[in-house]
Amino acid sequence: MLEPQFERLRSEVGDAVRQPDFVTVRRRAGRVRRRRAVAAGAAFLATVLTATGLGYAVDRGPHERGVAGPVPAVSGVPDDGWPRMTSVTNAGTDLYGVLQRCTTCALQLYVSSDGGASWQRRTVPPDPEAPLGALFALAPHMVAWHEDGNAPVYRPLNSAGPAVGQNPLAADPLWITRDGGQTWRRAVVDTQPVTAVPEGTKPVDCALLHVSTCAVGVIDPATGRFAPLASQPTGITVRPGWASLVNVPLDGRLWVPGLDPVTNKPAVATSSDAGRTWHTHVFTDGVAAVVDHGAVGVAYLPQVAAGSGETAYVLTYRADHVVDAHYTTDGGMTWRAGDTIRGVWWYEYISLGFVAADGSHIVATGTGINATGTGFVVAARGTGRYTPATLSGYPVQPTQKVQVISGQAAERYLVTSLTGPYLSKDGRTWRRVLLP
Amino acid sequence: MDAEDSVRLAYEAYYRRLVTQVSGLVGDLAEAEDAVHEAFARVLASPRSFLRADDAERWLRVVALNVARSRYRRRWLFDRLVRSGRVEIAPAAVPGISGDRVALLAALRRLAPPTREAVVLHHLADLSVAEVAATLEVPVGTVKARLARGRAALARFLSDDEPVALPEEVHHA
Repeated sequence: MLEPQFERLRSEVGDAVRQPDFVTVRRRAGRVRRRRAVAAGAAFLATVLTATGLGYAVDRGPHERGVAGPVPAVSGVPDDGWPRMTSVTNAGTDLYGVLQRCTTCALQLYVSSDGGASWQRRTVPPDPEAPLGALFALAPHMVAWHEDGNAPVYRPLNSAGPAVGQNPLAADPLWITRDGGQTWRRAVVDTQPVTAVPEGTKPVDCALLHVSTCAVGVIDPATGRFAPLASQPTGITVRPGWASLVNVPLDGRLWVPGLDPVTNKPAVATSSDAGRTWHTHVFTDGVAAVVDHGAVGVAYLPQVAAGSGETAYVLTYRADHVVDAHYTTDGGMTWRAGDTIRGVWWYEYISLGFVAADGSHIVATGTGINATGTGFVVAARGTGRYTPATLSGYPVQPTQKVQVISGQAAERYLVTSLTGPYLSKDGRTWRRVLLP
Repeated sequence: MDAEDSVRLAYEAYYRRLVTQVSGLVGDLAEAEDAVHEAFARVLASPRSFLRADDAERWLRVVALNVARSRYRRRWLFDRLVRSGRVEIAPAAVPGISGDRVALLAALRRLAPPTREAVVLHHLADLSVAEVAATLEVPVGTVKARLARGRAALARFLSDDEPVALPEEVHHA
């Protein structure tokens, strides 16, 4: 019975298509030619380096494939490329990675204490129920394993999770290690709220533990037990899953994105005293979120990127592919309007938005990845204009958002891709870490 | 007729149809328009091989497919969540299209990419099984298996509940 549906889809989409004038194709073709020239130059350089024994390999990138021969060849399917490091994180000075050697292979855990120069095999949680196991750091010596630490469980509005004290971990357990992956314990939920987030510890989205009575909680690094924060963010609606949609290092302040309860405009709650008290700022010039069937698009949420101090950037939705930047230097007490960025695909700025070591805000745009890593991102400092930036050595196919690591690590920026993890000292120049 | 005229004629003839097909792959009309636009730009940037092609539309479809694949590589993490049913696409993402059609796009998005490509090429691009196999460079039997798997999954996703399948709390505008 699918045929009539596909027929109507063909008809409706066909009617809705907007076809730009051909002159725009001509302009874009010029950009493609320039891109190819740059890529060809990079490939030539790589050949010379390889021939002279200085060897680097250059991925031609997906854009350059499949345009030769009587019929163009399809490029490789997205599921190719094994082994993969499907998830990485950094806790303290240790790098943790989940390795999968083939599509049906079991997940393996590796830990490196020398920036990936060598890896030690460690144990995975016993009988992990999460086939896509993901790691995320909670404290310098505490790492959690969940089905996806960067995207906690989203629940339908009418199916709130079990209350605190019930058995919330039966479905998606959260595993904790505090000894570098030697042993794992299931996180236990405590009913007694805690007054503050311990120093150097990352707050936890309560949705991660299916606790519906709070937005922000904490897992005690000493006991591995979860407890809600006694003082929750005020003057802001924070639905399950939203509290984790920030890019902040372990030693950063507390930032929680949400919506103004009255206007549905973007809002950010911050705390300068480890969660004892909160200050909420509403971006009144932002676009009110549209609630559709009770659901709110993630694109309507403010996207927070912060470093360890009081400086942070927020992107708010203006229109499709248009976002406004906002900037604070006082921990979110006051915000200044920044530049407006156009040509942004929401899944890109959600995936890549972080504060580099020089204090600039780096954001992905829809201008396309090429083999040299240019033409992919824009960057700005403060309220300055976002201009194209180069992330030298950055992977073409990142599969996890960039993580900003706390001050203990020499290389404070981490991302993983289908070809393995990458580290950077400043967020701009990246190096690939070899897989175990 | 010079190369640019040939590409221009193909642009007039095939753009809308290709956007429709790519929208089934990427699940977003605006992005499908951009991907097909990029495909034409690539062909125009080096048109020699295109001009030798027996079937211009097939050539363009494969280039557009490659562009679409590079797009869903870039959002691998997000698509993994969509396939798991944890996040959905909001109707606002496809203006001008009715809710149940958006539900079909959202259901397509939940298929694994190889399955989705087979379903879209067969049901939306109207290619025969043999043509789908030739386009994807896989055996006919593989296409048949993917189509069977895809149809079963789509039927399951679409029969879940409402006209617009929005079972999850968080959606992407």
